[in-house]
Amino acid sequence: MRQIELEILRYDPETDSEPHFETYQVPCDENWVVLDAINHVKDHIDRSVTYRWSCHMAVCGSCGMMVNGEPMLSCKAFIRDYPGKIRVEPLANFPIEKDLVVVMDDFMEKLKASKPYIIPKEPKSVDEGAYTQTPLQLEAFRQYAMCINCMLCYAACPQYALNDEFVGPAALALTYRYNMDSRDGGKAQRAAMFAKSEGVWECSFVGACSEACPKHVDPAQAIQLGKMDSAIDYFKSFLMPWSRS
Amino acid sequence: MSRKPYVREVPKFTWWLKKKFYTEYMLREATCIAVAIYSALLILGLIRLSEGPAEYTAYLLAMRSPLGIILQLIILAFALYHTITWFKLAPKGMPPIRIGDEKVEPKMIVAAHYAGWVGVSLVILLFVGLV
Repeated sequence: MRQIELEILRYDPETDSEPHFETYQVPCDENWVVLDAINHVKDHIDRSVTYRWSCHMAVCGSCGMMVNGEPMLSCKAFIRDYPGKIRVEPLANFPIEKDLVVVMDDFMEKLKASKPYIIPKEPKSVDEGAYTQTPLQLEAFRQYAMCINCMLCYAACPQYALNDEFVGPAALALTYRYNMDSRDGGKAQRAAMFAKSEGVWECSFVGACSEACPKHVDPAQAIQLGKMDSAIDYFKSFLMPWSRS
Repeated sequence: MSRKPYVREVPKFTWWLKKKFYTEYMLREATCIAVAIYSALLILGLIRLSEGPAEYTAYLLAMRSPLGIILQLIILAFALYHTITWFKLAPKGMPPIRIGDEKVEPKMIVAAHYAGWVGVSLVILLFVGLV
C-alpha cells in the first residue's frame, strides 16, 4: 500500500470560469494504474469527479488523459512508475467539457471524413464470396489498423495544437491504412482530405504521435509514407493523365 | 445543462520549450541552417577559385584562421546532430523493404545509412588523397 498525492484538473462549466487543480490523498495498491486511483477518488472521496473509461485494459481507448504532462491511457499508466505525486489533466489540445472529459467532436468529424472503411473496387454480391487477401497484403497495413481512436496522438502533436485544421495523426494513419488495403478502391475519394495541405502536408514530422501511441500504430510513419504516395500521384497526374483514378 | 467548453491556450512561440522531445525536434530542424551555411561556404570557395589563385588562397587562409576553424567546428557539431537525428528517423520515412518474406528491420535501415555515410566519406578522402 502506498499513499499518493493525486492532483486532478477540475473544471465545472456551470460554476467555474477556468480549471483548477484539486489534490486528493489516495491509498494505492502497488499494482494499481492511475485509473484505479481516480476510481478510488470517485468511489470514496469525491463523486463529482468526471472522466471517461470503460474497458480498463487498453482496448477501448476512452481513458486517455495527461499523466504528469504526457498523453497516456490511464489504465496503462502504472502508479509504480511514478515515484512522486501524480498530476492528471484532460487530454491536451482538446477543449475541456468537464473535469477530465474533453470535447472530441473535432476528431469525430475528421475520423468520419477519412472514410475509414473498405470501399470495394468492384462491388461483389454475397454469393460471389469474400474479398480475400494474402498475409503479405495484410502486412502492408496491419499495424495501422491497430488504432483504438484514443486521441493520445492528437494530444501529443504540436502541429495540431497550433492548427486544429490539421487532419491529425490517427485520422491520417487510418486513411493510409485503407488506401493500402488490397481490397479497397476508395483512395481517390479520400484524396481530397488526405493529400490537401491540412492533410499529410501539415505534418512536419515531429514524431511525438508515434511516441504517444499505446498500440504502436506509428502514425508518423503512415503520414510520411502518405506524403510519398501523394507526391507520386501528383506527378503521375501530369505524366500519365489517363492513370488518374 | 448548457455547454461551456474551456479552451487551453497553447503558447504560439514557446511551445517547443515545454517538452524535451519538442525541443529536440526544433534542434533537429534548426540545425539544417548550419548545413546551409556550410554549403554556402563551399560555394563561396568555388567562386573564389574561379576568380584566381590570390583570391582562393585568401579564402583558404580565412577558413584556416582560428575564427574559421571555430566556425567550422560549430557547424560540424550541428551537422552531426542533424545527420544522426535524421538517420534515426529514416526507417519511418521509407516504404517497408522486404528481402524474400522477411521485412528488413528498422535498425538495419539505420545501419545502412551509417554504412553509406562511411562509404561516401572514404570515397571523398580517397579523392583528396588523404587515405
